Amino acid sequence: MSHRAETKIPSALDTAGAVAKVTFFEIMRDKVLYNVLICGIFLIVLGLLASRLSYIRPERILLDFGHSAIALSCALIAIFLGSGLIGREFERRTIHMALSRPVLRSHFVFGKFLGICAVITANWLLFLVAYLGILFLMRAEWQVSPIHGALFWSVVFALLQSFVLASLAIFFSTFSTTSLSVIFTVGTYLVGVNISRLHAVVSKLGTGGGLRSLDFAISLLPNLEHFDLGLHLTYGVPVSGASVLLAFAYAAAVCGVFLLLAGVLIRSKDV
Amino acid sequence: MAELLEISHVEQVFRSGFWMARTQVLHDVSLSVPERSIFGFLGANGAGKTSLIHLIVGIRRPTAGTIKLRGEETWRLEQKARIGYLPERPYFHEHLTGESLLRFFGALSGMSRLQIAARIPVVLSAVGMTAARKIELRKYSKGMLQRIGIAQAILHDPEFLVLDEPMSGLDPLGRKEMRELILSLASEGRTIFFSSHVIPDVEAICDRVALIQKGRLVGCGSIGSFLAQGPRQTEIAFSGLDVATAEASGRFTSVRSIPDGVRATVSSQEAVTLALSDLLSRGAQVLWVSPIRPSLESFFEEPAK
Repeated sequence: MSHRAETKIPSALDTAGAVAKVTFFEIMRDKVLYNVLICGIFLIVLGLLASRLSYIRPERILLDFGHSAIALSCALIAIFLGSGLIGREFERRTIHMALSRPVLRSHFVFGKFLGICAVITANWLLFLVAYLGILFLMRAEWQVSPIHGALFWSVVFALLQSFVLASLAIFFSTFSTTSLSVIFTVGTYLVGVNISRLHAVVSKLGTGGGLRSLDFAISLLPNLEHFDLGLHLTYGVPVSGASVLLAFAYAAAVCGVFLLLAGVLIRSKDV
Repeated sequence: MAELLEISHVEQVFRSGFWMARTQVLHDVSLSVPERSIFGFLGANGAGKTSLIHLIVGIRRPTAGTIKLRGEETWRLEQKARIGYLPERPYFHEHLTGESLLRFFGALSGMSRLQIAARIPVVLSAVGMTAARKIELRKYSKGMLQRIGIAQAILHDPEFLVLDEPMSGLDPLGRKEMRELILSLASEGRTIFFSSHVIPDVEAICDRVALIQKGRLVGCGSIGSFLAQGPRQTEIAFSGLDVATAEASGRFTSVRSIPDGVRATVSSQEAVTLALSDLLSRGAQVLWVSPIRPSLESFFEEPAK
């Protein structure tokens, strides 16, 4: 028998693709995912009921509840399932087998990220279809169409925000436990969606060295306000191309930085 | 015979705990594995077998020393691609089927989809797992997991196979089948390095053996030379004589009663002759005489002394 004379190293995309596929089907079997789905469905149903109780602009209530259901379910998947992705590989030692093959650890991490992003996207699509379907059906009753460009961009931004959260969760999980990673990611999320408010609070408190350091530390955290369209969604205000471009570029940059850091950290992690 | 793998002055240190306490698990290990040989790596649990294997397959890099496959260090990606690895316990994603597991490892080994599709039936047939290819790994028995583990290890057709305790947890039939599988893989021209703490498994198929104890290599050579060093005992079973009479004769190191008669041991070849002639002269019927191979425990105690 002749053994393969030439050895081929898989490309980063081949490795990441294979890892992503396995990760996708692994997460699809996770009960946490279905709990999150139930939470999302509950929010949409709640929005539907609340909109029935309102005499003034009921479509806005459903619009907000539906958007929250999509954003929250995607974020919860990113945080709760992303935080355990790397740790579980080490606990179950499944990473041993992957690392015995000619793959780089950073490519493996990237594959895990792609896998969870695929799950988030599948969840996003599911809720989006349900959300748009409900809005479309209610259109006749409301005699006004709540479906507009800002709605589309707001759900896209929610997806981008979840990708950022997934990269954060993976980054934290490379040096901490699953529960700590969840806490760190939730903490960063809470700071991230309130960056401008925190800056305002700090500037009101004074200009001392400590406060300036705090202000600087806040600036280092990802600013998730880039993904919040707020009033654009409620009032259907068009979103500028620059805002869309900024949100995409910012999401790519933040994901890139945190995955890069995760790749560096996992290299020194003992298996 | 050319050397395929050369391990030179390898040391491995782990740091653990809050103060990063230093634990050295491998001390100046050096050995070489000849091409196309079956190399047995013996050691008790916790001796450092798996730690060395992780270094060989490139999961970790040694703290000091080198491990080279055909002259290149094994942690390099090009060298990893030449190695097939079966871990001690099957650390696989349980939601995968046998076939999807092979697809996954094929992709990680740099194989194209066509190559993977062509190799899967070949390796599944080689390990006798064709019928179970669509079943999820969570439903596999230990023996089936070992077999699918071997299949993923040979999928990319490596010249060097590293098998960590391939027979652990298998029943006697499973062990026999695994031995036959390893011999058949070796007959295809592969070099096989496998670890075990069971001497008969190693003895049955290995050309060369290395023995590790508490992270130090205490010997390396042919299996025959190892067993010759161990304590030799012979068991003699007989009937027609009771235990008390046998003990009183003073010919045996141990005596115990069995349903068929008495089972006794003697410690040298000369003692066997004397004991047998004594038994025959007393009218006893000899049921069997069999040499007792040195147990691993006693074998390991020897170098320490």
